[in-house]
This record gives sequence, structure tokens and C-alpha cells, in this order.
Amino acid sequence: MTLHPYVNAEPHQRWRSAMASAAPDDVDPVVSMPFKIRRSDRVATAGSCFAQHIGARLESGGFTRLVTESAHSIVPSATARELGYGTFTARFGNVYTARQMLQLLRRAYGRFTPSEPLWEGASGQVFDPFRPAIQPGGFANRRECEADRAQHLAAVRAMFESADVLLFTLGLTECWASRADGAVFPICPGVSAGDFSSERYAFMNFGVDEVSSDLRAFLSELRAVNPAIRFVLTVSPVPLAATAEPRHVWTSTTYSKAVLRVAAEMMTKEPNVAYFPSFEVVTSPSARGAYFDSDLRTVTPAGVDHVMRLFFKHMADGEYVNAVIVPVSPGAGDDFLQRAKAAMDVVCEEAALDQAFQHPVECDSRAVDSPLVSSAYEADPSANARQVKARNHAFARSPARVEGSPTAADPFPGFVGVPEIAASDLNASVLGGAILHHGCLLVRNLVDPAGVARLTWMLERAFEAAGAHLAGAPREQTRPWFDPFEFEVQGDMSDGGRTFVFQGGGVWTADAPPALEALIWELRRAGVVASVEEYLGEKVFLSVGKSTLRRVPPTSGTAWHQDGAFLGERIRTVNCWLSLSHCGVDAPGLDVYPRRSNALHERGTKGSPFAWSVGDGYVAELEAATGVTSVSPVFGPGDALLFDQLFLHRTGVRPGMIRDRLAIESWMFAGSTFPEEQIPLALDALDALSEAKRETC
Amino acid sequence: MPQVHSDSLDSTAGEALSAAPLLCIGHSHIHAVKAAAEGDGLRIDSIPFWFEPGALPRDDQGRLAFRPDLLERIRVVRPVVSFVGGAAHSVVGAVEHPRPFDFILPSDPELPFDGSRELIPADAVRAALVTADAEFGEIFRLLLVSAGGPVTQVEAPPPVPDSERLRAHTPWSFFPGQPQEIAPKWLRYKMWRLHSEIVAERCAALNVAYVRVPRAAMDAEGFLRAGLDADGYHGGPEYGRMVLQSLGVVR
Repeated sequence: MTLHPYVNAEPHQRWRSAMASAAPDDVDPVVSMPFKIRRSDRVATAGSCFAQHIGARLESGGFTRLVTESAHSIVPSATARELGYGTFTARFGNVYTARQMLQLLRRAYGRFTPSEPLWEGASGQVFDPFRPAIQPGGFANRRECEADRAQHLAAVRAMFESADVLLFTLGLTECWASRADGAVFPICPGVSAGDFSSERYAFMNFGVDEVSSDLRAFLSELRAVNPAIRFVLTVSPVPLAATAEPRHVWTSTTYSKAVLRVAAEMMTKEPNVAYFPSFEVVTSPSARGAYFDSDLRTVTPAGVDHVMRLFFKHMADGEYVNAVIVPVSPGAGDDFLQRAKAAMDVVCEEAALDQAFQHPVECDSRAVDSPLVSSAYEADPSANARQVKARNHAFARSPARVEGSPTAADPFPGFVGVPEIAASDLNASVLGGAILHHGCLLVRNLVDPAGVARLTWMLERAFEAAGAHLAGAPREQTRPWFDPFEFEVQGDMSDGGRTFVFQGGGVWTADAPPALEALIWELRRAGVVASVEEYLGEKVFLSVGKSTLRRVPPTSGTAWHQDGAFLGERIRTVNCWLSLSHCGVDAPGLDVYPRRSNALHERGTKGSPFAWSVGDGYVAELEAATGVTSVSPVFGPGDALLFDQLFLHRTGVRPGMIRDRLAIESWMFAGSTFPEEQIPLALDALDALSEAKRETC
Repeated sequence: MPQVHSDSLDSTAGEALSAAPLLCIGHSHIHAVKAAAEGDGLRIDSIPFWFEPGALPRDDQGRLAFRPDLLERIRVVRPVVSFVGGAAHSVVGAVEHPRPFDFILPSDPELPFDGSRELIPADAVRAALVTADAEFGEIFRLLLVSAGGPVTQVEAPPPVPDSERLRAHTPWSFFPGQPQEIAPKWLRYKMWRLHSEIVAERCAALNVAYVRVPRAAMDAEGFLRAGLDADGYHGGPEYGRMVLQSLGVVR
């Protein structure tokens, strides 16, 4: 007996198993695709509004989304979105019909130049009839519109010629066309721009043959400029907003989707053409309408998630099968404007400086909370030192030690390693919890690129001037970048100590007043000072000896240590170690043991090169005993690691590193336990201001 | 009170200003005027923000305020001349961007446009300028509600045509890895014009007089006349004196 074909049907071929008994989220009508998309493949997107969702998710899924007409990076991201940049590969707006897509290609290559003139608005603004919604409010004038169109069509050519994959979502069969030459419009003239005229414009509703013919012509002409391109077709599940046919909109919708679905199916007979069933996923009976919003038209995020989950599952090559679907956030753009802003700040300050030197200012209250280098540019050359001195004199030891040790719950329970957060998430409880349970907290982008550029600029000048100072240059020649802070010699706080620090790749920040002021401003702006003070429960202060600009060469020595070995085990402090350069790969970083230590470890033993350092052998034993291994985070400019005196770490030096590491360490000490041998500097602007006023006026 | 005797292109100063005591307040363009006044022995009170860091602290809710001692001076009943802002056009368009661009100025579309550069729609350029100027706008509004007397805003000086003047005074270390090029002069000019339009619109909306750059300070094309700048970005004392004349402070 011959078995009929359904006996051995696969589960996905049977309604009961594939649909009726499958959980809605598990329904997978894709089954398989004729080709995969590699990470390196440039994927172009075009189509109706549903295609916007697909494009937005591609990048976050690990694909390379091709964008040949992106917003310039000076354009704010919200404006870029309003102007349709990045929505699709080029700025063509929604392409609803196969005819429109074919027309776009022919216009791009000059094979079709529609006779339709630009549309003028009531206020003189100008609209492009073939993408009337791309510039809300219209272009300012014809010259701009024409120049932008030429630029746009060049970007379209670049798209067709450089894409490895084109993902096109078919949306409609209905459209309006010019009676003069058949040029089709994405939107009926008069709806969002232009004026409707039945004499000039005709309604069209394509059938299967026309859509199929347009798609074949498009593919043929596309492959003439890009023979290897692969073509993925989908049908938008979004119903028509309105129909121009004299019938029910739902009937027109089913007609339109049926035609598009059939035409797409016909195209799959061509090599390297695939159909992806977005329409089926969203409109599936198993979804019971849940993938449409309350307007029964807008696809919900859950619906888009389902589609894209299947897209990644079936279209991505192996390495992206488990790609996480994350909504795309607005593009950050480059940091040119931030740098330009910082540069202009410097230029403007220099203008002030020039004027000040020509016309010395009278004594008045001086800057203490500057975003830049206010004091450095005073006409009075001693003002820099005075300002630092004022910070020193503003120190007031807290009346009594704050009782008890800080406490905080673990904000990263179960996590092993270096916990990290974004700068906006920094607060006292996260800071304290991370230090008390994991030893440290890594804050990404604590300082923005402009701040990093500013601090780097000052650091470089401080090192240059410090070198000159140690070579014998008087301070008059090294001001304002290096102006040695004057203090009573005690212990390491001496000229010898200053030289020792410099030879080790450091400059005391107090000796570089502009850098000190800029650093304090950044620490306050980022909420570091407030978080540390709330965590420790009292006001904190920097010190001359433990706030240091660092330029560490790749040849630097290194040894595991806890700073409590020098500062005291029971003090209350937090260090903000701020990276100003990429470090940890080709420049020295930090090796850290990411677990809370409640006391000082054994020192001077098991391979320790110094009496105060912890031996490599000891650290290896510690790792074996706890199961927590040391790690070497990679830092970017502006990243900061916050930790206290019990944190076990060392400079991370590796063979093959070639660059210096630029960083600033800033130990903030609680006033009540400020180390006796350290020289305090107030962080509080008002304290220092009142001190400066008292001293200078 | 004496009338403003300005030869400016489009002075909307309207109200006359008394000669003294005058408060000049704002950012770096104030220094040209301050230098001119001091050079002429003219006493004006000034609050240059670059000499008063911490002048504009924000509270916990992010609200801007003047430092109390400055607020006392601002509240004195007298004319206030604002030099707030005036750098947004330089931030956006002074240094050549690694992705060179140009735009067509809507109010003067026939100005030179380099079609070999990327076109950015003017709406988008305007948005970039508005963003770069946003904080200055906030400061300006604070000044309006704080000032004891009428406020006049002074237009920033036009760009110099000579790129070398700017190149010499640009801190290039802020732009690592890119050519040390200044943007073409017409782009800088259009950027200045558009920025001025934005500030003028703000002033008009707030019913504030906006004093344009004196015509005598401009060359035939509208750039800052040679010799009037201090550093390519700012006016010098002679330019400052022309502004004081525009304001009716000196003759």
C-alpha cells in the first residue's frame, strides 16, 4: 500500500502541531531560508512603515545595516530622526509599492526623470513629490531641495551597488500616479503636501502581474549593477489606512496583501531571492490579534519581537543565532561638537586672558568652581597658588569621627567580577554597595569626551611644565600649568617627594592648578563627590600627595598592593581612578582582585618586591582559596574605577604594550579620619571661596 | 536719555541707553568692549563670566541661578548689555569637520554653496546651532528676569575671512587625528548669519533689543574687517569701541 503524502508530514506542516497546540510565541512559520546573512554582509532596508521596525532591529541583532545617507554628526539625533535619516538605508522614506521601488532605481540611474515639478507650500517651502514627508515643513527653497535630491539619489546608487542583501517590505498595491508620465507617488498628492488634481493624477491599484513584473524588472536592473546581491522580500502586516477603491478598507487590505504575497512567492523562484513571512507571524490566528495595537493596525512591540526573533534565528549565520533583540537607541554621533565646544571654551578663556594681562583686574573674589582654568588666567600670577592654598586652608576636620563603618546592601548580588554601571546610575548606595561587597565599582563614561579632552590637555601641559621646573625653570615660566604648591616639609611631602613622583610618571594635581580645578569640577558634575560624601556620611577632601596626574609608560614596574598599607587601614576614603586614555590593551591598565577585602593582606612575602606590597604568590593562593580570580578591565577615556584603601590591585603591565596610560587618581578622604601626613584640599567651592575672599581682600 | 546713534545694519536697539553706569555681562565677546572702555578711560561695570566661574551654579533640581554677589550687581537699576553666548556658530562651524559639509542659508539662498561638500538641510544646521546655543539661551532668560534695568543683546562679531587667523588660535589638541583645517569662509559666514537669526528671533520673542554688528566693522562681503579681530574668533579693542558707539555709550 502506498502511503499518502501527509502520513510523514513534519510537525510544522500540520496545523494541530504547528498552530493549534503551539504557544503563540513559539509559532514559527519560517521553517528554513535559502540563504543566511553573515555579520559582515551589508544589509540594505527599504519598504513600507513595517520595514522601519526591521531596520531598527538589525543593528542590535548584530547585523551590519547599510546606511548610505546618514545624518551628519553635527545634527542632533532627534532632528535626524525627524528628517528621516537612518530610518532606511537612504533617505527615501517609505517605499510602499514595487513600482515605486523600480522607479527609485531608474531615477537614481537617470533612466527615468519624472516631469512632476517640485511642490511648493503656502509659505514658500518646497517638497520633493517622491518623498514629501522626508523633510517635515519642507525644504527652505528649491536650491536646497534640488541639491538634497541629487545627494539622495547618489546615496541610493551607493545602496544598490554596495549592499550584499536588500530587505524589501512590500506594503501596498494602491497608489497615485502622474497622468503625464506614469510617475508614482508614495502618498496621494494633497495629503501631506502638494495639491490634489484629478486631471493630473490617476489612481492605480496593481494586480499580481503588474507587481510581479515590477519586481522582476527591479531585480534584473538591480543585478545589472550588483550581480551578487541577495534579495529578501516580506509583506507588511499593516492594513491599509484608507482605500481609494469604492469598497470596504478591509476588503481592499485583503486584496492588497494577497496580491503582494503571491507576487513575492513568484519571485522566490529566482535564485538568491527569499521570502520572509512577517505578515504570517503578525496576523497568525495563534496571536489572536494580540500583535496589533488598539487601532488594529499598529504592530505591537511584541509582534515585532516575534518577527525579529525568527529573523535572527533563521537568517543569521550560526554566530548570531542567539542574538539579543534590543531596541535601537538613537545614534550618539561622533564627539566632534563636544571637542569643538571644549576648544571654543579654551579660545574664549584665552581671549579673557589676553584682555586681563592688558588690563589687570582688581582684587575680588576669585574662581573656585570653574569648569576650566579660571585661576590659571588671572592677571595676578600668584592667584593660582592662592586658590589652591585657599582650598587647603578651607579644610576643617570634622568635629568627631562618624561612628560605625559604612554599610550598604549588595547592588549586584551573586555577581563575581568588577561591577560596572553607566555614569547616570551612580549614587551612594550603588557606590557603597559595590565597594563593600565587590571591592570596587567601574563607572563607564563618568567624564564625557569634552571633559576628557580638557583634562588631557591640562595633564600634558602640566607634565611639560613640571619637566621644565625640575630642569631649573622658575615658576614664573611654568605657570599656570605647573605652580608648585608650597607646604611645610614632612615625610614624603617634600621637593624630593615631588621629584620622586614625577620620575615615577606622576604630577601632584595640586601643583597643576588648572588641572585641579577642572578635575574637581568634573568630580562634582558627575556626582562623585556627592555620592562619596553620602556614602561616608561626611564631607570629604582631596590631598596634595594622593591626588595625582598619571602618565604611566608601558615599561612601568608593578606590584600588588592596598593603599591602606600607606594611608592607614581604618581610614574612611574612596579613590576615583579616572582613565583619560584607552588602557588595558596596548597601554597599562589595572589588574584588580574583584572581591571585598576587610583588612590588609599579608605583605612583603611570597614574591613581594617591597615590604608594603603583596606577593604574587600570596595573590595566587588567595585566588585559589576564594575561587575569585583577578581581572584586567579594559578602560576607555572617561571611565573611572572607584575603590577604597583595602582594594587589592596593581598597575596592569603586559609585554607588547606600546602606549602610555593617562589617568588621574583622586583619593577623597573623610574629614574625621584625614591622614595626619597628608595635606588637605577642600572640594567644596563655597568653603574655598570664603577662604579666598578672606585671604585676598 | 541720549539716543543710540548706531550705524548698524539693522539695529533694533530702539530704547536709548544711558552712558553710565552700564553693566556689561556675558561671555568672551565682552572683553573687546571691556578693553575698549578701559582704553578710553570709560568706567563700565562688567561681569565677564570667564572671570567669574561659579557665577551660574545649578541647584539640586538643575535650576540655574546667579551667584548671590553677582545677582546683587545685576539687580541694580541701570541698562544691561548682554554678551551672553555668541560662540555657537564657531562651535558648529569654525573648524573643518572630518566630514566636510555646507548648507544653503534660507534667508539668503544665493550665497556661495560648495556642491562638492555634503549638504546638510538648513533645518538640521539650525537644530545643531539651537542645541549648541541652548545653555546660553537659558542664561539669557535668567538674566532677563534678574536684571534691574533694560537688557540689550549684542550680536557676536562676524567671522574673519582669513582662515589663518583662526588656525593660529585654535587649540588643535582637541581635534586629534584630523587635519588642522579651518572651515571655508562662506560656511563660517552662513553659520554666523544663521546663529544671529536664531538669537534675533529669541530677542524678538522676549521683546529685547538686539544690536547688530556695526556696518563699519564689516568688509564689503560682510566679514569682520581686517585688523579688528583679537584672535580670529573675537573682536579686539577697536571693534569693542565700535560696539560701544553702536550702543550710544561713546561717540
